Amino acid sequence: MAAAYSTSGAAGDDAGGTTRDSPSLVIPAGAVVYAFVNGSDGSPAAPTGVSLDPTGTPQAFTKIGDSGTFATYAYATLWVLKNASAVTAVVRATWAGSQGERMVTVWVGTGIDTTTPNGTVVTATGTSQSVSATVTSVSGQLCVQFAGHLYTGAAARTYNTPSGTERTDAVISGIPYDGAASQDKTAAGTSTAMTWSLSANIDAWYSFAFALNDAGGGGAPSIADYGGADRRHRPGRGPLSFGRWYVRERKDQGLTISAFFSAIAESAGISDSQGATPTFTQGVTETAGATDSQTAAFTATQGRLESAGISEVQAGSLTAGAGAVETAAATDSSTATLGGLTAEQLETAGISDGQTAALAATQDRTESSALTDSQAASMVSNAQLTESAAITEGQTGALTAAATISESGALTDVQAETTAATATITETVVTTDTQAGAGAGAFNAGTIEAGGISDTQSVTAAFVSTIIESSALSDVSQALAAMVAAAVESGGITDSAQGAGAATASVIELGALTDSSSATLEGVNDFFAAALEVAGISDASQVSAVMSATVTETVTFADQSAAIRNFYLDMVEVAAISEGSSATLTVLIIRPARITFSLAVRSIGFQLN
Amino acid sequence: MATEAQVKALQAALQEVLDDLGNTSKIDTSDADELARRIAYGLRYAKARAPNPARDARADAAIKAATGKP
Repeated sequence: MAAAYSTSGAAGDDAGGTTRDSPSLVIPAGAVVYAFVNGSDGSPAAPTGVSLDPTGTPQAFTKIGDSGTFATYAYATLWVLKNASAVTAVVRATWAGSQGERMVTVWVGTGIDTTTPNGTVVTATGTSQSVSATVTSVSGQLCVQFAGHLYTGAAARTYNTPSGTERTDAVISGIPYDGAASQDKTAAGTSTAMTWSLSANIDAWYSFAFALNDAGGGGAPSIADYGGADRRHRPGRGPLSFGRWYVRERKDQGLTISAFFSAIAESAGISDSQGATPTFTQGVTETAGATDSQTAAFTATQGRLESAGISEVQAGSLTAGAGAVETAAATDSSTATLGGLTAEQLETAGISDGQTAALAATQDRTESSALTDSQAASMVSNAQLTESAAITEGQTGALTAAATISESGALTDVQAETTAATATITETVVTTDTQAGAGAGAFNAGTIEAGGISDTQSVTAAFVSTIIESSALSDVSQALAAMVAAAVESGGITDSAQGAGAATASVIELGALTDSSSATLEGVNDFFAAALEVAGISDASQVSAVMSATVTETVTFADQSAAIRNFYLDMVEVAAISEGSSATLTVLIIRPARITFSLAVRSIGFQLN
Repeated sequence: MATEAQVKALQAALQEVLDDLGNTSKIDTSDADELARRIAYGLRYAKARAPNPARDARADAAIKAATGKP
């Protein structure tokens, strides 16, 4: 088997301490792990040890490279762990005394000889921006290089233009005195130069580089006369294929024969800290028990029956294309994602604190969910949805459907409910303090709404067809009703309240205005047909009415009132005007026989056109 | 451009810092800016591990004289 890169990671900081961890990495069984540890301090030192999974089952590394102090304050070491056990964990470097800046760079490979994983480790150092090391190799060998630097100017430096494939390139967090990079490159000959160009000047850099020995090869491959095998399939360099049979000769172990077939049956018991990813294309029956800290990913395209018991801090991802029956019990901090179900789905979910459940289906769905604190439920369906939701504090309920909806919702403090639908809706909403109920303007027909609205509330209702609305508005409330067809509205408006009603067809409106109220009834663009208005106007009130068609109006003006009236056609007006009042009546088309004034007035500005 | 005397003063200041830190590294540069950086870096640790205001003042004076930077 040929050596191959698997994973890598790097991390460091300037916080000072006696340990430093790499990022958590997934280490395959049998892998060879290299750790490059660099850093700086007033009194720089090498780590006393490096281990994988230090808080679980530690696997100790062996030091294979040591720079000694360089650039006055810097130090770098290289460590290897052969034949690692599978684990997802950090690599930790430990020092005897505190080191100011510490950094760990890890490179993991598979298919590497676990007895003698690498050739001679070549070291190099310099103060220029060109980082270079030359490895003795054989064509085809994978070569690895690490380099680290110190720059006491406290500015970040990056490793540019790698000669191979760069895997990591990082500086420590905090003040970026130190940085490191790793790369690998497949040798093309007996000498492999590995280089970088640093982005700017540094105090000094230090590098380790080496060639990897392939697993099964026992070192650099040698060419042997073997049954007509070509160079590519020569022993020690890879399998020789005879149909489904693969033959490999190892120089150190003799002949090894492996057979691979199709039609795989598999039963997997997965224990701690393992990861298993079985993938099949058809006819799979699987039973999996996954325990702590494990991840199980199962994918199948059809004919699947699955039962999963998922416990704490696990993630279960279950995907099926059709005909799926699924039962998931998700507990604290679990996440259950049930997706990709296209039809005929029955689902039951028991969801508790801190959980999120996302349920998606395209049709014929029945769902029942009880949501508690801090939860969010997102339910989307394209058709025939029946839903009952009780929503409490801090929750948001978003219900969207394309067709028939029946809904009943009770909203409490600082909640918001948004309902949108395109067809028949029956809705009852009770909104209280500092709430907002928005009908979202998406009711196309047959809407009946009843709302009790109190302090500092706002209700916006927009409809495109028959509407009946009854609202009682109080202090600084505002009601906006816009309608394009037959509207009937009844409003009692008090201090500072404002009622604006606009409609394009038959409107009947009753309004009682009190102190400081203002009612604006504008029919210029809004009342095109018969309007009937009755207004009782008191001190300092003001009424402005403009209409373009037949109007019957009765107006009573008290002290200091002012009335401005413009009628363009067929006007009948009765005005009671008292001392101090003034009325300006402008009539564009006059039928004098139909104009009467019921009270004497001191002055009337009257203009005939 | 620092004079030879100023560079020697920087090297002496750096050596004093290194001695206080127990750092046995050889001073391998005569570049004034680099010496100044290394003194500043070393003082971060020396001030905590081996406080010595007189040393700090000498180091600061050597840096200012050679580089003009405070």
